[in-house]
Amino acid sequence: MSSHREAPEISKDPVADNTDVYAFVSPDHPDSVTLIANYIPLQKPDGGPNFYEFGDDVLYEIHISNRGDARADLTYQFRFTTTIRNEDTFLYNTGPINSITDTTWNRPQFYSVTRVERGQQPHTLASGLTVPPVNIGPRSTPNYAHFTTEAVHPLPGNRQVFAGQRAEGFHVDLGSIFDLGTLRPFEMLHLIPSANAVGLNGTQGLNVHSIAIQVPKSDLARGSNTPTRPLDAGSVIGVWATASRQKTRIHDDDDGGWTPFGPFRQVSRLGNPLFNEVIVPMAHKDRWNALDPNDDKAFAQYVTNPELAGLLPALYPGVFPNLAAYAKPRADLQAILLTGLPAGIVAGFQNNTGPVLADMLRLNLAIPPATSPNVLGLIGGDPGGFPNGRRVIDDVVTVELRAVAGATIPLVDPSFTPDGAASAVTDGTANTNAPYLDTFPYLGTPAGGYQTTPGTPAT
Amino acid sequence: MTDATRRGFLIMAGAGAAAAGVAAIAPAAGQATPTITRSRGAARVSSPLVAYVRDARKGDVSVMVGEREVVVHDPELVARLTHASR
Repeated sequence: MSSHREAPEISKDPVADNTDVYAFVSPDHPDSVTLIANYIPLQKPDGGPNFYEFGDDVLYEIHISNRGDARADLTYQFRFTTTIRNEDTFLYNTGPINSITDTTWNRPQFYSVTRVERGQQPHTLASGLTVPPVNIGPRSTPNYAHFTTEAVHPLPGNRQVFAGQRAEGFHVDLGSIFDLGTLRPFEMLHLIPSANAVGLNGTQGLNVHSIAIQVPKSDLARGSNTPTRPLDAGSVIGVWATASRQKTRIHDDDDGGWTPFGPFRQVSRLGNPLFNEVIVPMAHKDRWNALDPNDDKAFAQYVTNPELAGLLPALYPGVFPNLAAYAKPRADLQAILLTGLPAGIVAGFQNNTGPVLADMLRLNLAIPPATSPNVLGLIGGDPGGFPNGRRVIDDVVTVELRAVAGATIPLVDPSFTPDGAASAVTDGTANTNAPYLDTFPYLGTPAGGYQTTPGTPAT
Repeated sequence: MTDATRRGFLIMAGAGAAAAGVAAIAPAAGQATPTITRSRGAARVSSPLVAYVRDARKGDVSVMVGEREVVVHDPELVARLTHASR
């Protein structure tokens, strides 16, 4: 998946597990940028009575680099505090929750937002902000959609923030892809063939927890400017999100809880979707999660010689002969994932951040939102989408599959002719969860527990 | 005191606690954590360890190494650790 359970250690710590990061010029407020970091993967909506929530012991951060050195020039930090209103009940809610301030919600969660500029003291923008309850069902959380509006909080500086449960917006055919790279629409061509089928969205009906913040472009750009010229180096920012835990914790035998100690240490990181998931070898994934993007040079070899590009011709015999014969390092993938595309490759576009090899989402702030967005983003002729940042609508699985399959090699090596399949390959999925919103926080209303239907029994 | 200096001090302090003979007093699985009074000994522990002071007023240090925990009653060590954390 994008980054759900993508590394051995973090797969055991879902509360701190980054799943997706988005960064895009807000379509309804094009003078602003929306940054979204999702955590806690694969939430089954009926997973009570202790429903999903952010970790009070986790430091959640969204980082922005605007100087080209892949170090954080600006960080937004989010810290959560959970309380129990009635200690004599096992209930998450003691009656219908009609608003985020209702006392019937027995386990409310609050958070603070702190802004940290490189070399400056942290500045807390707000605290005591309320997280909405999860979507339990029509009796406990009736008319759930209104909680979204209630939980969008204004912040100083013409910013706004939301933190809480959302419908998973990322779609992928989990069941097939992890079954030896099967793509259902093409499985007749697989090494172990079966009849072609339609893709199944493995995240259908599941939720995540999102932290979304919308800020003026000038809040993020170098020199506090509002970029207007796409080809200026200062128009591009790098974005990634992390989760950190304190270095150690001690189990309290008296109350059964844990007490954390020590400085925060990063346990999860995410920039480009699927980077740690399908680029970094398993033995190095945990280490990658603990490092900064500035350290990614050590992983460049896995980008320029990706394992998946070797697997595709093996799993789909005869389908990718040109890809199989291509022996050069994948400069196209290095540009897309580690440096950004320099000017001169796509007319009027660049999102290059210089020579430092680093996995970050790279967003050119001077590119306006598309009036008719294409879910394939840049390779679909829409520079407003991935890999120019990432919008919630972007079909990053298809984009990255096609890129790895060779569709983007001609960007840097015109002598290469992609295989026909490179521009057709897809897992065949689309968003089948609640529709995306037209306004902040853009991800759809989370699925409700009562409304959830059981999965498919084993056969 | 810098963080680096504190770390060095804590490592030294931890080594001092380990030298109290924790290796010789490992409880069997399921047994209560033993409490000992610090004395100079020659036991050596090469593994990393964690020293935990829950209540400095009691003068106890929990020393955890591998799967073992030993509570060392050593008000002097607790005072040094407390001082180092400031």
